[in-house]
Order: sequence, then structure tokens, then C-alpha cells
Amino acid sequence: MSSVIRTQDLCIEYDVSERGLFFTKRHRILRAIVDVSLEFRTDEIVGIVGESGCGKSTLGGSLAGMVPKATGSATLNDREIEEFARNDKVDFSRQVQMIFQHPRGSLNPVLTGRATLFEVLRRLPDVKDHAARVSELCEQVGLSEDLLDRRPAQLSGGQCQRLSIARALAMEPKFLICDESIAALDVSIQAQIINLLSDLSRSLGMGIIFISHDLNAIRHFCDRVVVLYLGRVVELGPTSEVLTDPRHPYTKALGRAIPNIGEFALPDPELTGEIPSPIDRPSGCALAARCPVAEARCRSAVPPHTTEGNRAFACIHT
Amino acid sequence: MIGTVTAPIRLVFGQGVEIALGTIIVVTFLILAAFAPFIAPYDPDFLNLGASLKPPSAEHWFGTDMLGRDVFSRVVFATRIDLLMGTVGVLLPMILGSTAGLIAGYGWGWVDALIMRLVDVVLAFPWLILMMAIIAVYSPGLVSFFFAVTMVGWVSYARLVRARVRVVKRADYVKSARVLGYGHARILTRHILPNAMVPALVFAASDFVLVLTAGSAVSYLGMGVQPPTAEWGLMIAEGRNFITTAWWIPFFPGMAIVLLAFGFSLIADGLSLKLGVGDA
Repeated sequence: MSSVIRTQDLCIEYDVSERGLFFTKRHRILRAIVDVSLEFRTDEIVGIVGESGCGKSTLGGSLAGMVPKATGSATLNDREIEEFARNDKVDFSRQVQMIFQHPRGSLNPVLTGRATLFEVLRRLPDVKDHAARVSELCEQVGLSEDLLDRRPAQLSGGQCQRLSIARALAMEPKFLICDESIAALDVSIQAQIINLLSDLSRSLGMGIIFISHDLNAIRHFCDRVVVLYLGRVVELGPTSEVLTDPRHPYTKALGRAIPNIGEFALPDPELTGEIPSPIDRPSGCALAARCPVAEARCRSAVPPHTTEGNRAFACIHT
Repeated sequence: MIGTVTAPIRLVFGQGVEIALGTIIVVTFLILAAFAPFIAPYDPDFLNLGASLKPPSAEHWFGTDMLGRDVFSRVVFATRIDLLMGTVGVLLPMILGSTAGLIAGYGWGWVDALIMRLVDVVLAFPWLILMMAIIAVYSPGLVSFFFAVTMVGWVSYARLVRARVRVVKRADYVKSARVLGYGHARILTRHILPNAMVPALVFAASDFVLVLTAGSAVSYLGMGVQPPTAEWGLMIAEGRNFITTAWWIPFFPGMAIVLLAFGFSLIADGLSLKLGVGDA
């Protein structure tokens, strides 16, 4: 059976209340993710893109069962992820795995590569021959097995990331969430890791949710892309269509922000100003204050999603 | 502070020399302790009133004390009890304090608050006074000393470990461990503790010096090891009345304390350099 992750009107909030002197308290809620409805399947690589603070990592964390939701639902095969991850930790971790931004930081510095992998395998009763499985994993991620006796500090960033991927693969997950997983690597290594993830996704039938602010990486790698702005989905659709023919003003601005060699044309209206605070959310469209085409009705109501084939966007101007 | 002492040594001999030198000193003392009966020329407790207060000579290398006991033999035999005092006096507080710090740092708000208020209570007193008060409540002796040093010493480890745990628990490798579905106990013992212990281990080496001097101080005040047992602090205390006429009685045990303390300080210093904690 093919697995599927679905979110329906998912909202995630953080309590950022400030405690004052004595017993006063200033209640403040940070709404990191608002009404996000998405679907992820195992046969595709989905990119989640947006600028810093837009809720990409929060969304990823919640799909991995690490961040509790406020309202709405996030399910894996119709089972609530939050409850699944809490009650059947091991089963859930065999379905969804995650790799992080800093390759070296996501490996326990006191464990050698081999110990890191054994640490995972010892909990899987169905894996009998650990040494053979380790060899297999190393081959899958293109990591030389003699490097396994080193600690993370003695490995390069790319080698660390391959080891992190091997560790995640050891669980044979249905979904792999990559949270800015290439941002800290050299550009040449980025390409290697992207190709590796791409190959693994196809050969293992593993869905990848690729969180990144790097549109170039997403363009080469993802089948679909979801554009987040201040916790809301502003546009989604097949990568090639969204990036060549963006419909939402925010996606257009993101596309223009990619530096292109040999192209000097500086674009028409750029976004100005800063991303608004997710604590005091503006009413209406969150982009309105920065948007070149905004008008009064943009500020009064949150624009609904317009669906057009397999694309969707949240802007009243298109 | 030891860094200023070791900087020239390091300049001459290169990196890692502190640990090597410190280890040589400590191992020498370990050998002294292990083979005391073969190294010491006399019975440490043998009284020879006819040969009291003799200055150092070929016969008595470190001279004799007021009761005619051979100071060299007593210094050698005292190594046993002083190393025991230092080791147990460091390990017990380290185990108690690290556990407390680990629990406090990992979470559960009210447990953290409770442990840290206990720490504040202990820190509110001068530690030597508090130790002596605890010993005074029980009976003077080694067991009371260990109890007191544990009750007082755990706070340093608790604070060091707690501070590191609060950093380490947010590390990506701990997040990974959670995503991989490891249990709390596994995460605490295998993924957080080994990475949060480094400052505490470095501190332990210098804490050895503190415990050693505290033990000697407590013995000096008559609240620790009891006579006639040979113990460096006690020997200094016994020799204090003769310091103008027989300097060798307190001098050699004093030198032994300084040398062993220096050995452990060197190790602590080298460790902190090697493991990248502290200044240096």
C-alpha cells in the first residue's frame, strides 16, 4: 500500500507570552502555520520554499511528529501524526525520517559512523545481519565503509550528510523530510547530495519533502513546489510551471531574486519592506503591505485559493 | 590560571605536554601508593623516641618527626589515603551532581527549579564551613568527610552539566535521535550525557586538587583522618609547632600535596585545551 501524508487546515501556534513582573502576563500567540492543506505521496519530491521565518521548518517538524499542532489535522495514512509519533514511536520513525541542515551537527560527536548506524539497527528486530546492512547502506549513499570508523569531526560536510542520510535510510522510511539539508554544504557537494536524494527517492519509492530557500535546487530536483509566505500556502503546483509562469506576486518576486549568470535585467517591482510578524498578523493577505499590486480589498480579507488544474494560488489578481 | 604556568612548558615541549607531564606525576604517586611497603624504608608508625626531630640525612631522607617516625615512610604511606580521599571525594560528588544536572537540564520545569534552589542553598554557605558543620554533626573521620564533600561538591557538577545539557538537548543530533524514535533514557544516557560531560570531566581533574586540599585542611583541623594514621594534612598539622626548629616535618608532606595537585592541574589544563573548553 502506498503511504500518504495529508494535512487539512493545519494550524501550528507557539505560545510566546511574556511574563512581566509579579503575576502579570502578556498573552501572545505566534501563528507559525495557518490553514495549510497539502498532500504528499511516496512517488514524488515536493519542495517547500519560502523566506526565513515563513514556517517551513515548523511544517516539516510537525510532519515528523516533533511539533504539536493547534488545530486542523496532519495524518499519515489517515492516522493523526501527533498521536502516532507519541504512542508508536518506533513504528512512526520507520515511516517518516528527517535530515537536518548542519550535517556535522546532526551526528552525535562521540559516536563513530559505525556506532551511529548500529545505534539505529539494534532497535530493528527484523534486521538480522547488522554488518551486512551497514555495508548495504554505505553503498546506497556512496560512503566508503572505511570512513565509518571515524567520528563526525574527522569527516567532511558531504560525508557527514551521506552518513545522516544512511542513518535515516536504515529505518526504511516512506517519507524523508529534508530540512534545509543542503544549505550548509559547498555548491559542488550540494549537487551530489541532490542527485543522491533524487536517485534514492526513485529507487526506494520514498517520498521526499524538501524544505529549502534555494529555488535553484528546487527547480532541478522537485516535482512539485509549495510556496509558503508567513505560514500560509500562497502557491503550489508542478515545479516547472510554477517557476516559469508564477501566478502569485510573491512567487514572482522569489523567482526574480535568483541571480542568473549572464542576465543583467533587473526586474520590475520588487517586494519592499520586511516580512510581517507572525505574532501580530495583518488582516487580509499577509503580503499586502509589500505587494506592488495590492489594493484595498487585499487588506480586508484573506484571499481564497484558486485552483487551476493541478495548480493553486492565493491571490485575487490572477 | 594554571595556563600561565604551563604556557612556557608548552612553548618548549609542544602541545599535549601537560597531559603527559601530569600523568607522569600522578602515575608516580600511584606507584608510591601501590608499592608503599617496598619503597618505604621504615614502618610509618614505628616510634623511636631516641631518634626524634632528626634532620634529613642518608638514613632518614626526609628526617624524623617529634616521635622519631621516619617522615619519608609516612609521606609514602600517606599517598594511599590521600589518593583514596581525592578519588572518592571527586567521584561521589561527580556522580550525584551530574545526575542532578542531567535531570534538571533535560526538562520538567518544577524538578529543574527544585534542584537549582537546592544548589542555591548549598552555594549560599562558604563551602569549607559547611563541610565542617556537616562533619561536626556526625563523627570526625573519613566516612563523614566523604559524606560532607559529596553534599557540598555536587553543586558544581550539577551546574556545569545542567548548563551543557540545556545546550546539547537542542542540538540536531538530539533532534535526530527523537525522530529516530529513541526513548528518553536512551537519549539521555547515550546522546546527551557523553556530550554534556566534557566540562565536568575537566573540572573533576581540578576538583581533585580542591578535594585533596580540603581533606588535608579538614585533617589539619582534627576533623578528618585521625592520628596516628599518616595523612599529609595531618602531618602538617602535627608538625606546625616545630616549624621553626624542624621544618622538614610539615615541608615534605606539603610538597607532596603541591606536587600531586600540580599533576592533576596539568591534566585538567591539558584536557580543557584538547577538548576545547574554557579559555587557554
